[in-house]
Parts: sequence; C-alpha cells; structure tokens
Amino acid sequence: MNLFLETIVVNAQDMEKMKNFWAAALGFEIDFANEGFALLKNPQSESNTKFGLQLTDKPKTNLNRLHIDLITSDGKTEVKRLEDLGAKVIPWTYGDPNPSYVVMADPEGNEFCVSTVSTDNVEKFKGLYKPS
Amino acid sequence: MSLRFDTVAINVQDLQKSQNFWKEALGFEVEYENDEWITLVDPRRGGVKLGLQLTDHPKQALNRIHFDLYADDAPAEVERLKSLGAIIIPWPHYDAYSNFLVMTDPEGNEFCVAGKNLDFYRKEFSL
Repeated sequence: MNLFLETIVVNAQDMEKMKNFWAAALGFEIDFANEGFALLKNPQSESNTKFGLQLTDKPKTNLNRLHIDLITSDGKTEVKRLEDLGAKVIPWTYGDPNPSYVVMADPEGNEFCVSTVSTDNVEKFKGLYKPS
Repeated sequence: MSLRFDTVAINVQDLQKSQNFWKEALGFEVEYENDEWITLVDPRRGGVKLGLQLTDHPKQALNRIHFDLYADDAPAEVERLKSLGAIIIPWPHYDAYSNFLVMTDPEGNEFCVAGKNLDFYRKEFSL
C-alpha cells in the first residue's frame, strides 16, 4: 500500500480571491498556480497535506459534504484575523451546549470550523459568537 | 499566528462503513471515536487528519471539496480501492495532460487518484 492523502482541493469561482484568502488564513505559500489550479503548501513542513484550489464556473449550492477544521490556541484572535481576511462567522445550531468551535465560511461560502484547544477561549467564544 | 490546518471532515450516513473504507484505503488509524465522530490519522507521516461525522442527510450535489490521493503504483492502488468498495466514475473533463482518475467512496464522495499509467482507465471512463 503506497497511497497518500496528498491534497485537499476546493472548487473556486474566483481563484485570485480564494488563493489569497486561504494562503493567508493557513500561513501557506503558493507552490504552483495557473489559470485553473493553485497549490498551496505549508512552508514549515514538506510532508504536510497540501491545499488546492480548482477553478469552476459553478456556484456553491448545498451545504458542503466535506469541511475543513482548523485548530488554534487563541480562538478569539484567529476568528478576528479570519474575519479581516474575508471570512464570516455563520449562524449554526450547535449540538454541544458547550461548543469548542465556531463555524465560519470562506469568501465563497465554504463552511469551515475553527476549534480552540483552550478552555479559556471556549468561554470567550460563547459570549462573542452565540449562534442564532 | 496560531492557526493550524488540522482535519478534513466528511459527513457520512454510515459511520462504520466509511471508517472501514478510509482506514483501509489510506492506512490510517483511529485516533478518537464516539457515536457521531471518528478521527483517523496517518501513522506514517502525520499531515491532515480525516474526520468522519455522522449525518442523516444523503449526499446530493457534486462535492465542492475533494481529496487528491497519490500513488507510486497507481493502477495497483485503483484495483485495491475497488476491492474496498470504491468505484471509478465516468468523468467528462479528462484531457491529454490528465494524470488522475476520478473515483467515489462507498457513499459517493468523489476523490482523485493521481499517478502514472492510468490511461487505460481514463479511456474506459471518459465521456
């Protein structure tokens, strides 16, 4: 068995906007880009999974079946930073009464989660981003 | 910046079936599981984890996010994936430069296998 999970690819309508958002959001570098595809990689680690963007002319219609989970030790700062980059916190019905994550959407509406490993930050989230 | 790309999660209706498939497909191991969520990790080289999250909604549209898998011996891996329950789906967008094959997992989630010597499959499954 020599199969590897190499890249997570997100379809995008605006390559420039999505490439810039995700590179800044993840701290990844643009490894390759042409009109139809961009590959972002973690400059800290050769073995880490890459992030791809693939041009599509179709708009997003459904809730995504796959989503990206990001982890941080400082949720408040990172959520604010992501908002400044063009992401939005979206209303979400949290199953857990004490969620340790918030649901956000990238500039094209792809849902992703920001999880915090710090209990302190969970408390801050609850006050700031109570889902409607 | 303390943000880290940690996990990609797939919504699934049959947690056990999807777990069995992806564990075998990628050689991942279970890091955590409960009734609604399973985290799988790559014991060989780390990287992004794979999450499986229970849903009661069936898959509808073409997925907006997909995995690209890479294999040194791609045809062997395609056959192995088929034996695990994946299927090769017809794909209209192959061209002379394509080095991948589009398959789906047991719940219909599209993924690509990239590597050499996949022309035979692409001819058969192009539209």
